[in-house]
Formats: sequence, C-alpha cells, structure tokens
Amino acid sequence: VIASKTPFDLSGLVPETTVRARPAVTWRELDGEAVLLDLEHGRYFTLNRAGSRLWRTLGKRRTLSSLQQDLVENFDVDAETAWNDLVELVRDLDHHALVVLDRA
Amino acid sequence: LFEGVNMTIVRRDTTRDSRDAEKHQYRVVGLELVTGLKARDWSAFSRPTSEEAWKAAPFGTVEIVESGPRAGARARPDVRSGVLLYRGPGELAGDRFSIECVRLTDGHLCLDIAGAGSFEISPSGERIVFRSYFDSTAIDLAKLAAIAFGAPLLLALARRGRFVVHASAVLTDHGAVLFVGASGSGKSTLAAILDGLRWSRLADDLAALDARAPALGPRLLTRLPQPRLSFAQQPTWAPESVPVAALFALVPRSDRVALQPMTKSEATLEIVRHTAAARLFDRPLLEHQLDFAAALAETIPIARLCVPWRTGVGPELIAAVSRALAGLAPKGSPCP
Repeated sequence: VIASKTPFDLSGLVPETTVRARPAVTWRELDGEAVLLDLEHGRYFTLNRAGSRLWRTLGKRRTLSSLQQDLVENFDVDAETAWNDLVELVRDLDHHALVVLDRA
Repeated sequence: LFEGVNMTIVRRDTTRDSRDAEKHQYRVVGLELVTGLKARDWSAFSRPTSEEAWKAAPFGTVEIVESGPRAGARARPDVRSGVLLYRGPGELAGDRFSIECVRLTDGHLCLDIAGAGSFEISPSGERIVFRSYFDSTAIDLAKLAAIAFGAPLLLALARRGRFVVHASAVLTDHGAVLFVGASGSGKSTLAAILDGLRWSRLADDLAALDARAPALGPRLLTRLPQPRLSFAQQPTWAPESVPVAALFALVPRSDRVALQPMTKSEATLEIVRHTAAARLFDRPLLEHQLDFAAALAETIPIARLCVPWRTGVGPELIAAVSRALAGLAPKGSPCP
C-alpha cells in the first residue's frame, strides 16, 4: 500500500518503461510542430518537430527502447544521445501530466 | 456563412409581463437580435430599414429568455450536478462579480453570478436562459441586458462556431488586419492611429471571427458593438463580413518598427491566448477553439509586430504592415 502511493521514480526510467499519451490530451499538428491541449486543465503546450514525431506514436503504449530506436533511425543521432533526449522529453511530458508511464 | 442568431429576452415573471410587448431588434455578428430589453449604446446596430438588406443573410436562432426566479431562496447551481469549469472573479459589463461556470450533466453551460442569478447556455448555443435569485437586488434591467450580451452571448456564439478574440482591427486593401496583445499593449491605440491615416478601424477590442468555411477563409464579422467606442465610432459602415488578411501580435516597448515571424504553433497559441471568455469553456469548446486557432494559423500570415510608441510612428507601421501583406517582410530578426 505504501509503495503504491509513492510517486513514480523518474530516475528509474528504463528501456522497458512504457509511455502513452493521456486520453485527456488532444493535439493538432502544424508544419510538423504539435500543439497539445490538456482538456482537463485547459493548458497548452508545443512540441518541436522531433517531439511531435514522437508524440504522434503515443496513441498506443510504447516502450522507451522502441522510441529510442525511432529517434536513431530518423534523426542523425547515436543511441546514447537519443536516449538522453528521450528521457528528458518524457520527464517533461510526465511533469505536465501529458503522458502515462508504466513499468514493464 | 451568416447562420445568424435570433435572440429574445422576454421577462416571464408575473410582474413584468408587459415588457414583452416592447421589442428591440439589432443586427449583431451576422445575427438578428431581438430583445425585450433596450441595450444601451447598441442603437448603432439597429435593424436596417431596408428589408432586402435584412433578409440578405439567412440566420438561425438563439433565444435569450429570462425565466424568473427558481423556487428557493437561492438559485445557485449545484456543482455536484456537473463539472466546475471556473470559479473566481469576473468582469461583466464593466463591474466585477464573483462568478462560477459549470458544465451541467445535460450539457448546458451554467454561468452563475453571485447575488444575481445564472445564465444557462444550451448545448447547441441556440438558447440562453437567465434565472434570477429570489433575493436578487444586484442587477437592474439595463445591467442585465449588458451582461447578457457579454460572456453568455460569447459562450453561445462559441458553441455556434464563432469565436471572439480580444483584438483591434483595421480595414486595408487586402482585407481586415488584426492586432492582438496583452492589456495595455497598445492595440486600441494602434487601431486609432491607423484609423486616422490610411486605413479604417473595424474593431477596438473585440473581433468576432468565423473560420468554419475553408473555401472562404477566416472572416471578421464586423457587427459587434465595441464597448469603448462612441456611437459615431462604431463600425456600422463596414461590410458585415470581411476576409482576414493577417494578424499581428504586438510587442510593445521596442526601439523601432520591426516584424518577427512566428511558427504556426506559436501563432495558434497566440490566438488561443487572446480568445474572449475562454476560461469558461468546457472540453468541447476548448477543442473547437483549438481547431479555430489552428485554422487561422494555417491560412493567414501571423507575425509579431514590434511597436515603438512615439509620435509619428503611424506611417512606419503602415509601411511595415503593408510589406508584410505583400509578402516582402524581412525574416528572422528579433524585435529590437
């Protein structure tokens, strides 16, 4: 019971961690950039092209490892850079309650 | 395009039925407004004498009805019967009230004004019902009319696909040019300056926009009373619908006139930020607002306009905006 009340440990993001967009978040894409709208709180966010490309795929649950692979294949970055950028973005998305994280 | 609105305010309580006999008709935002109350300062928008002109645009119906007090000493809606969207201070018709907006389970939006009563806006935006409190003493009839044509009407119009943006606007050779900005950024001043030079003012603070017809592009609906303009300054001379040529977000306190491009996502957020009554929107309205803002950002040029407020800046601003409209604006430089 105590463990279930503990906030998700973001520093524990691992390749098997899964992430998906919260259903209460709608979005539109304009010129490759995404505008996110959190319908629950009426808050807006924008994502650049790389973030938007990742966000497009989050309608379904994705593992971080598969997202990392997408970044490596589509942007000219090595695996380590892709992982660090991915973790930073996912932390931001989670901080603003735009995604649901879950351990595998 | 002009799926207008026919609004009627009719008092239904037992003491004021005689007021039903007196009706005032107005032409507002491509709609027919019929009210049992006389809206102060709206006479510039009276129904035109020409029946041909009056019948030129088809219109739908929105009815505003005052139903009289509910049973019980208080008429405040029960938040438990819906979703609370906003609770806090609000300025209505120039006065500050404690307001609350709830989306009721039947889809109505209920805008409650402490000490007075509540407006219920139907899901389709076709009907607004005002219910006063039994102990209401806060609002007289003139104030009630002024309030009804404010936030409740904006909510109904939004539910009908027309959003009102806090913006000034001028009519140019290319169409309407809009200026948005925070309170005090100078959008009214800018429109006044340009109005005295080459262009004509279409809006001072409230711009009603319709972006539902992609083939036509976004349109500015000019028949919306501008609260801070005098009777003579109201834009009743203008066509009822004007294509929107561009929108500029004002950046005050700059050293010189300059234009700064915006991405479409930035432009979308700029429009969202300045949409009137948006804090009262429920989820469907928020989604429609996002579609509306994105449609504008997709179809018209939107940029930041750096404005130094000094004497004689008008011609420079006209030149800069004209260059932008002609697609000749230099890109990339930040506002000085």
